[in-house]
Amino acid sequence: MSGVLARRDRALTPEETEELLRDRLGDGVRNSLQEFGIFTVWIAQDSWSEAARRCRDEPLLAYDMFDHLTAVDAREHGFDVLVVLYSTSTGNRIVLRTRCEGGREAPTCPSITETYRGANWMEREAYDMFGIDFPGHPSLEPRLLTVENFEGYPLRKDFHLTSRAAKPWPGVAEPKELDEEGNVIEKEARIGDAPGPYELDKAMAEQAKLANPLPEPETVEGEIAEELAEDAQVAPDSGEVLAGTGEQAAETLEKQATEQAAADADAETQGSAQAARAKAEQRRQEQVAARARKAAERADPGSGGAAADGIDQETFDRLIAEGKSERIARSKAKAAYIKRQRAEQRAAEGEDDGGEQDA
Amino acid sequence: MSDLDTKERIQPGTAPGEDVAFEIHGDGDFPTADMSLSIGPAHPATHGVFRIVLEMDGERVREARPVIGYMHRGFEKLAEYRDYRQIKALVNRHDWLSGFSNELGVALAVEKMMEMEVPDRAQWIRMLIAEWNRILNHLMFIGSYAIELGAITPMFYAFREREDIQHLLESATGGRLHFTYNQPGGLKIDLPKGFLRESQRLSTVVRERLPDYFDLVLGNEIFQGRTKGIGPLPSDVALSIGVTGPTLQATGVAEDPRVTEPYLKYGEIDVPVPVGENGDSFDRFSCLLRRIQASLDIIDQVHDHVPPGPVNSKLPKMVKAPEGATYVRTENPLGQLGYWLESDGGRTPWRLKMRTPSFSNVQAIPYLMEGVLLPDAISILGSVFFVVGDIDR
Amino acid sequence: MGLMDQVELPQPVKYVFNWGRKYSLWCFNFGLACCAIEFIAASTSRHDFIRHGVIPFAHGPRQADLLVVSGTLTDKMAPAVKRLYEEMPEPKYVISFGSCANCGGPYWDSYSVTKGVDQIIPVDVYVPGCPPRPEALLDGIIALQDRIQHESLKDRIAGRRLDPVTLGADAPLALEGR
Repeated sequence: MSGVLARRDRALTPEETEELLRDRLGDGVRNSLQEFGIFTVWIAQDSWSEAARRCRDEPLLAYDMFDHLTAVDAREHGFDVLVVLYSTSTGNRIVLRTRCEGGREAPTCPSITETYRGANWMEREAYDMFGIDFPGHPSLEPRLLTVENFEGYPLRKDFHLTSRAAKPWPGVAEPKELDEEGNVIEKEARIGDAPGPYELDKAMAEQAKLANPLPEPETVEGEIAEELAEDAQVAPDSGEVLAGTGEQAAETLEKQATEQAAADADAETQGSAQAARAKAEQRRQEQVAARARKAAERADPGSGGAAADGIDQETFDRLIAEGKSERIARSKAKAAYIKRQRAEQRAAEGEDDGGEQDA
Repeated sequence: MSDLDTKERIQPGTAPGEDVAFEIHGDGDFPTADMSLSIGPAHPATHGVFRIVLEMDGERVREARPVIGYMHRGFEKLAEYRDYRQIKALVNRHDWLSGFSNELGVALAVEKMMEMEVPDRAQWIRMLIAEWNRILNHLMFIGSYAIELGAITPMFYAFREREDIQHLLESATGGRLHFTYNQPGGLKIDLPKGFLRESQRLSTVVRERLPDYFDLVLGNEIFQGRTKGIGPLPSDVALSIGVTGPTLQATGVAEDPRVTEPYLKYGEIDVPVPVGENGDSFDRFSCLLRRIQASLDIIDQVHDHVPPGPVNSKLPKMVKAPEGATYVRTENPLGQLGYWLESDGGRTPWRLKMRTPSFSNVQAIPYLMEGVLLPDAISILGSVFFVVGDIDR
Repeated sequence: MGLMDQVELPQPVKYVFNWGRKYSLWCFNFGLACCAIEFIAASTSRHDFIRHGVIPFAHGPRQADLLVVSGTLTDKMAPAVKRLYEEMPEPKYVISFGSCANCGGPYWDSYSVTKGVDQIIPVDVYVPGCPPRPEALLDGIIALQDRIQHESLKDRIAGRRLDPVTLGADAPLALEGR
């Protein structure tokens, strides 16, 4: 903790830095940009080495630490080279960025190895990955990272991964597999579900099922499935579709609250377990109160209410009154609601399907 | 020995395509020829598949040329093909000893671009696990550096602690090396019950055992003889190369993003930064060892701060960083890990540059090894802490 | 090898012979990446595979019976692995430890990764996982020892190898009592 922070108060602001660089480099500074907390200065190719040297040697800038140098594919404009510098005395960071000359065919950028030793390998890497030539660099060959006779420049956007073309994504879901709204399709895995389509996955699932028998009453999913199965017209997967998000949120809230209590209990290691327990109890009561409050809100037809949620309010209220948890009550109420709906549908056959189900 | 003999003896050590040039030094009865000595890529003295070609003049190293790329797996390209949630599984494998810290950087970068609020609890837990991860990493290097210098015992001591810590972290994250515990916006899941208590207990245990290492390794006369004054690195050279972490701190520069540019909640607690004096092998190692102590201090402070609350914020349906670029650096166990994240607004990054500490640190090796004796070269090689995957990516 | 490559040993002799061989495997760890750390963890006090008769301190491939390839094999590294394998004396065994060594693992689409060590050398036991736990390595070693116990050295020397074992696939999760 030596004098690191000593001159922090004298650090130049980005505007002052740009002014100083403009004064020293003239037209060499193209423009500047501040985004996401990063200060970038675009430098003309001719002033590239000079800019790096100024950044190091100007006493007011004193960018003494070379962070890294890299290149970025700039589509049809060719390639950008950027260098990130940091000053240990002022705590400032600057990004110098330039566009390579020579387009995509023969990009070149002057080397800054004379100013910063660390640029040596970084430039070799950029040569390796993008094929950018750095005049003034001691020796860019042999290739640093890839095998010596490697063909092509892997980080260029026109370099495609041949393995990907030859073989589909081996996982269960291709990352680009999305539903209409642009969501990644995610399924909640349960014990007993095969994690993948292969034989081995099925065998693993079987074993997992044997090792962990499904817990019975608390999950209610089974019950719902049973109830729904009674109704012949219910599609087998509609139960899953109905496992809505509101319910999950409530569940997480509940879980967090319990864990919060647990964390508190953790914190109090010195014997006051009783106090912790009392606290947990209090929290549980608060939770119950919150649950009741929420139920009341839901019952209020003005705030969305039962119809939008697609639950049977009567059943719900009854179960809450019986002291069941909100999640269970909601699930059961939902099942009852579906049942009723189906019955209504059957009653009025040929009529339009209830659109509420999709809600 | 005839010239031909020498040639035949030396040839197998050189890489295909390299010139074998002989220069005769000295005169009279003992002329010596330069020898090109290729160590690695699979050699006990280089942890991992690291190769270094030494141009030897007798016992002295004239020139050292690290040859890297044996573990180049193309992370930066692969990251462009994976979305932001999948990247974390990829990035925590490049420096395999510090998985959590690696994925933390990506999560911070994405959060910074998407302007996400991360709950306090998640931030404190991230710090806690990052520090445990740092200790895991440093313990490994205590073991491996001692092995390189000819002592096997510290490795067994180090793994005793490592197993305990891994067990602790596994209870929260489910992983022993690669935790995949971060996600943009927070953590995957909350800590299990009793984690903090166990963590507290373990921190006391490790702290009690720490003097063992100081006595066993640092206090060892042979160890001191082989490291003191070997391979000193001046701070200006170190900065110009971009050396960071314990290797930089050993030169006397207290540069540590946790202090100078606090991320997470490091600004709210006291972060000790151990520094050395002249940046030789001994200082580098002693910094590493004292960083364990510093991490334990941080862990103890974090225990008092972890607030209750949620551990993740609600993610948007698609994790998409807006167009633009940002840079996030964090203090990885081996030095500063920076992610230059450039996005075109899509689901996958346009460019994810990893500025890895080992890549920069290893660049100091040619400077450090110039003119040293061969056994000292090994002492230097081990003390510039690197992980091969972190160099090559 | 003398007679052994020409005649099948009588059953009792074969039993004792193989029993001796399977409990004195000198192991050469080809530590490439993350899995090498788990390999080291398996060799230290907590998991300690030395109790299974595996000695992890072979001085080089020429003194080793067992090659454990742990980690990602890159195209740049592949020739070295092949060369080291060829330096090992027969009979020699290979354990491919971890997903990367098995098939490329998370780097299945990389431009510089060899998709599995079996593309260059024959493998006896595949241990899946990324990285596999040390216990998985112990399991892999036991599987290999099973194989050695029932092996005909004559066939082995003649180059007739049994099909490789894949932990988990052939014996799901390796839970049956051994």
